Amino acid sequence: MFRYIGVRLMHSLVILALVTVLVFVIAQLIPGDAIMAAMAGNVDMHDAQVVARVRHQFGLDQPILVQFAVWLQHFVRGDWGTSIGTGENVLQMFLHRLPITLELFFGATLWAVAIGIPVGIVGALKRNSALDMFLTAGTIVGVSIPAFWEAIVLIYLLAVVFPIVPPSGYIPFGEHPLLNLRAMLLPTFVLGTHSGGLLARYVRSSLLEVLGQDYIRTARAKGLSERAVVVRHAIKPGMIPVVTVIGLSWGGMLAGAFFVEVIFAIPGLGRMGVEAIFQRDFPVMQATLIVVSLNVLLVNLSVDILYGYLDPRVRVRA
Amino acid sequence: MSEVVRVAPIPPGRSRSARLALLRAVFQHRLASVGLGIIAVLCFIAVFAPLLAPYSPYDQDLYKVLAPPSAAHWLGTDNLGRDLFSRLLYGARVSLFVGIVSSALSAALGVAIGLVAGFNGGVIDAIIMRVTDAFLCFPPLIFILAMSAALGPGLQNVMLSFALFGWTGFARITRGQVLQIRELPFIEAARAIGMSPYWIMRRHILPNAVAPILVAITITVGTAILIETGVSFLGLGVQPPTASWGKELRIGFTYLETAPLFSLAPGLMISLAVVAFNFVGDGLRDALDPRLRGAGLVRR
Repeated sequence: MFRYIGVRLMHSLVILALVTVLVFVIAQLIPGDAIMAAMAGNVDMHDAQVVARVRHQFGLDQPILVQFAVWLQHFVRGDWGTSIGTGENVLQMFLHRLPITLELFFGATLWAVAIGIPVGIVGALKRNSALDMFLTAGTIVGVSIPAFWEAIVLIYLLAVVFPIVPPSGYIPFGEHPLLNLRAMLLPTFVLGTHSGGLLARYVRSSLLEVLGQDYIRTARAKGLSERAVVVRHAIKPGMIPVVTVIGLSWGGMLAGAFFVEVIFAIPGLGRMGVEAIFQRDFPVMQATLIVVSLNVLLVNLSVDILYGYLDPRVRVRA
Repeated sequence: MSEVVRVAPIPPGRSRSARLALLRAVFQHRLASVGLGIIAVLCFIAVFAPLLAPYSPYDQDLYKVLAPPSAAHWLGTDNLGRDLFSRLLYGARVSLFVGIVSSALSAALGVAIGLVAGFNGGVIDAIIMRVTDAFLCFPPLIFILAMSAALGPGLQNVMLSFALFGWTGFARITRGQVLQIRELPFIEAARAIGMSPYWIMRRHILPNAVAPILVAITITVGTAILIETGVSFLGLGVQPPTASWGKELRIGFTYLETAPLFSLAPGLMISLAVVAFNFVGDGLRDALDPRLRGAGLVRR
C-alpha cells in the first residue's frame, strides 16, 4: 500500500510540475507583456522609463527561465505576489474569499446529494419504465443546461415574478445567518443541479450493476422481499461511486462558480478569477489557475488512494 | 468528454454492417432520435438563416428598443431595436460552427496523440500520458477563459483554446482502443508482411477505433457549444455586432425585468443544442457499450 501511495504521489508531483509550467506559459502568451496589458489606457505606458521601471519591479526584464524559477520559488514559499488591479496581497485575497466559495460548494454538494441519490435509485429500480425515461431525460437536461441560463431562469421566476429570494448579493453567515441562507439558496441550487444530474446517472448505473450480481439473486432466492433485497444488500455497495463523483465534480463546480458568483454577485474565488482574467491581473490569474488545478489534482490523488485501499486489484495493477 | 466510454472495437471485415447496426440502434434509442431531430432542425436553421429570418440581424430600429413580442417581431426586439428572432436564427450559425470546428480540431489533435502513444508504448507513451494527466487537471472552461483572455477576444481564439484543452479525452480513448487493437492477430499479420507503422495505424488501427471516438465527438460538440456561449457570456468570444446566443443572453440579463425573452430565448436555444448533442452521444454510447448490448437497456 505504501509503495502504491508513493507511486501515486510521484505521478502527482510530475503532473504538478507540468501544471506550473503551463500556467506560467499562459501568462506569457499575453501579447506584449502582462504589465503593458495591465497598464493599457494608463497615460504612463507611453513613458518608456516608467514602463521599464515597472517591468523591472515585476522582474519581467529577466530571461524567461529565471522569471519562471523566481515565480515558482516565491509561490511555493507562500509569496503569491500582489494584485496588479487592487494592490492587495494575492494569498490574503484567496484566504479572504475561500470561506465564501466553500460555503457555496458545501450547499451545492448538499443539493447534489439530495437530488442525485433518490433520482438514481428510483431510475435503477424502475428501469426502462416511463418514469425512468423521464428521470434519465431530466438528468441529461440537468447536466446539459448551462449554469448561467439556469440561474437567469430561476432569478426571473423566484426573484422577479414571485419575489421569494433576493436576485443577487451576499450576506456573511456570521452577520445574519438566516439572510445568508436565503441569499445562498439559488446559487447553491444552480451549482448543485449539474453534479446532482451526474450523480443520479452514476448511482443508477452502479445500482443496476449491483442488482445483476449473483448474491442479489441468492438473496431473492432465499425469499427476501424486494424491499429488503434493495435496502439491505444493494444500496450500500451501489453507493460506492457517490464519493468519487462528488469529489470529482468539485473541479466542475469551480468552473460553475465562475458563472454563479458573477451572476449572483457573490464575492468568492470564482468572481475573483473572472475579474483577474478580464483585468489581465496575472499574479491573481496564475494563482487562481494553480489553485484550481491543485484542487483537482488532490481530489484525484485521494480518489486513487481510496480506490487502492478499497480494491487491492487496483494496487497490484499500478 | 472526460467520461469513460466503454466501447468494443468493431471487428474487421464486418465494419460496414456493424456501422449500419449502430445507426439502427441510435435511431431506436428514443432520446437519441429526439436529439438527432433537434440537431437536424438547428442545422437547417443555421444553413437557411438568411431565408428564414424576417429581418437582417444587424438592422437597428432605435424607435423600437426592447419591444415586447408582436406580430412584426415574434420575440420582440433587443436593446438596439434589432429583431430578436432573426438574431437567434443567425446565432445558430456561430454556435454550431464553433461546436463542430472546435471538437473536430480537438479530435484531430487527440486522436493523433493517442495513436502515437498507444502504438509506440514505452517511454513515449509514459511521457504523453503524464502530459495528458496534467491537462486533465485543468477545468477546461477556466483555462479556455484564461487562454482566450491572453490571446484576445474572438471566435478563432476560443476555438484554438478549446482544441488545446479538449484533446485529452480523445487521446485517452484512442490510446485505450489502440492498446486493445494492436494485440489482435491481424495487426501482427500486417507487421509480418512488412507494412510500415504509419500505414498500419492509418489502414488498420484507426478505422477500428472510430466508434468510441464518434461518441466522444458528439458529446464534445455539446461541450464546445456550452463553452463558447459561456465565454461569450462573460465577454470574450464573439464580438459585436455578430449575433451569438451567449452574447445575447449576457446583454439580455441586464434587461431581465423589462424584457425577459431577451435572455430566456437565447438560453433556451443553447440548452436545446447542448441537450440534443448529449442525447445523441448518450444513445451512441448505449448502442456501442458491449455491457449494455442485448441487456434490454438500449431501447429507452
